[in-house]
Amino acid sequence: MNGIRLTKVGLAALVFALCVSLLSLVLFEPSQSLAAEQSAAVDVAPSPAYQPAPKLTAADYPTIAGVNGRIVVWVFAQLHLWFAAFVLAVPIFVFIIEVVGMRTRDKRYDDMAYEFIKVSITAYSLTAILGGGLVFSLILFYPHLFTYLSGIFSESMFYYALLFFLESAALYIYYYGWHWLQGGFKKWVHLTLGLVLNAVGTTLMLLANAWLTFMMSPAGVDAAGAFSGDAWAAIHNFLWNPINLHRFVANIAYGGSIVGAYAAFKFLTAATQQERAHYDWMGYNANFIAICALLPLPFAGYYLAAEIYAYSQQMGITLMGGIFAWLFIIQAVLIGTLFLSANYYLWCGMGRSDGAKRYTKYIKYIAIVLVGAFLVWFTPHTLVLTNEELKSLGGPHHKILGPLGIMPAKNTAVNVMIIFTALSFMFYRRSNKVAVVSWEKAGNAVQVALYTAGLLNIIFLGVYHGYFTNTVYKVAASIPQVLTTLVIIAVSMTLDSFIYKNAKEVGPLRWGRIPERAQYALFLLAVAFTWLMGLMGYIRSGIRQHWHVVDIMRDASADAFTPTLGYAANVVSVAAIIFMAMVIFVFWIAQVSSAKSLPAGYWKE
Amino acid sequence: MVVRAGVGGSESQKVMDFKNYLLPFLAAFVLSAAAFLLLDLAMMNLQGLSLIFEH
Repeated sequence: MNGIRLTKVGLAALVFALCVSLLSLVLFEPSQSLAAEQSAAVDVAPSPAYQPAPKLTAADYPTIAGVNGRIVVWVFAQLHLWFAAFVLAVPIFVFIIEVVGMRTRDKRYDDMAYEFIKVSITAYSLTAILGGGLVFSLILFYPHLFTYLSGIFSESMFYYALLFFLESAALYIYYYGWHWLQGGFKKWVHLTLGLVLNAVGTTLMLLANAWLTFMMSPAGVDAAGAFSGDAWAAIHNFLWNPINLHRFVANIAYGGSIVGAYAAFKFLTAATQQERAHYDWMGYNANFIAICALLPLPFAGYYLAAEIYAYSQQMGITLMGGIFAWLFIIQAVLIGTLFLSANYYLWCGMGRSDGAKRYTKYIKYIAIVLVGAFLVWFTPHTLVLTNEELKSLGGPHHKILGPLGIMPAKNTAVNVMIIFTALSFMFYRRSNKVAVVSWEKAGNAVQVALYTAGLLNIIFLGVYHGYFTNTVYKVAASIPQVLTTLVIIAVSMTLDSFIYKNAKEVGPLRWGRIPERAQYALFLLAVAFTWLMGLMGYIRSGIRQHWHVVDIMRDASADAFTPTLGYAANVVSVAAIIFMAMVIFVFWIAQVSSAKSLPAGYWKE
Repeated sequence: MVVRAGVGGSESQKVMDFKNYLLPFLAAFVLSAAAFLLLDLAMMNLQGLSLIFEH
């Protein structure tokens, strides 16, 4: 029953993500694509009330106490973003879990949702503090940039502040009113508050996204940067919706991974078997949420990258063919780590059921495929070689392995990883069930045929277009690859739900019967996500190179250079360690908030 | 289909396996492969390209 309910939660999350993506596509106007290349701003008539973007010199950037302004802004922005991603995501799946609890009348869901939101409360305060730190550091170190941006986005910044109050009010009533607003009509009121909280939180994210994407793909301004007065044009810039979609999905995956780490922490420190069972169940749900959002995430990432190329080929080449290309190798390693740890957790979790041994024999094959795809994914296109190695190889590309460094091979690898992760999940769901339908064998045969034909199709598209066609075909072939993956997952999951309809259970699921090492897989998931977001965030921002606002406002500070990858990785790593320390603080606060001391003889009787 | 005498699994069992597993597998495989091929053709055509590379 848990599997069915959780699948419903997952489906609901996916439907929600789909709605947002459809909304993004409706709002998005593809006709902009080519025109944008010549700068979105050229034919915009400036309003006389607005000045062009200032032309700055190094003297326009204050030096305060010898502190490096770029690093301060960078670290504040990164920390704020990590916490913001977390506090925006948690209410989304808390709302969905609460709905599941309400429909099934299973109080465990309601309790779990409450515990999730409890963790996010302290994180919410930290998000606001770090956001304030970011604003102050921008005003102090980049005053002209802040003035220019706040001139264009004055209205949206004003509404942002108002919405922030509304979000705070909704969150605090939602959290503190949880036990008050229970049962009947009151529960509906509580759910409505949850909906309001999510709507406001998502709107806040969309507004903030507009400011950063304006810096990458400015719109609503003329070639000199003078604002036309059309705030919507500036908000609805070329890269706004691709970032909106990518961040929305990524935030859910990230939020799932952080609460998964919380559950793992509580599992490892649990004093009783009952507590272990509870936090094992919570960890499973968190991992499930993270996987559900992780599966479509690469597609959202490709969409964003394709739109960056469409907006500016130069930016696209800097992104994936220039200095940042090697960070994508690290990205591949980290995403591979995410997939491996998520799968490993699922495999360990199969031990909760006595019926799992029917499927454990397949795990090694899934592991081999995942590792193989992982290796393909992080194979670099151009190798870092000594002169002697170059000579013996005959160039920077290996004859056979070289094509594994280009996108068709990587697209194939990621699709295969996604399909096999879905397969792992399907085995997990089946592990405690025995089908009762007469056509079970035929149904299994259909599923095997679907997977086989789909995988062959993905490999055909990847190999044929990767080796034998030009770039246009290589990029175009990624679309049917993605759709094949989605069809396999959707059809096989639907078929599976029919095969296992009214299925018998092998026995009660033994929550808590999972090795402790599985909890470290949840920690790994959270750490890998954090580091990945930091590095990819650096890339997204770094492709502006020496521009504050691309082609409009030049960065004239002493730090207007692209740092080496090692330097950037160090900054992100230090920020990640600070973030982790703060997250441990959040977990600790959540723990002590439920602890009670009863000092005998201290208070008057 | 060769069935050795005395070895577990009678011919009727093999026929059942063929009916219950192999036949649905083959039918679903052909159907899925055709559906995926159509999907490939449609997606490439929508992008103004053919599935097979043309110079």
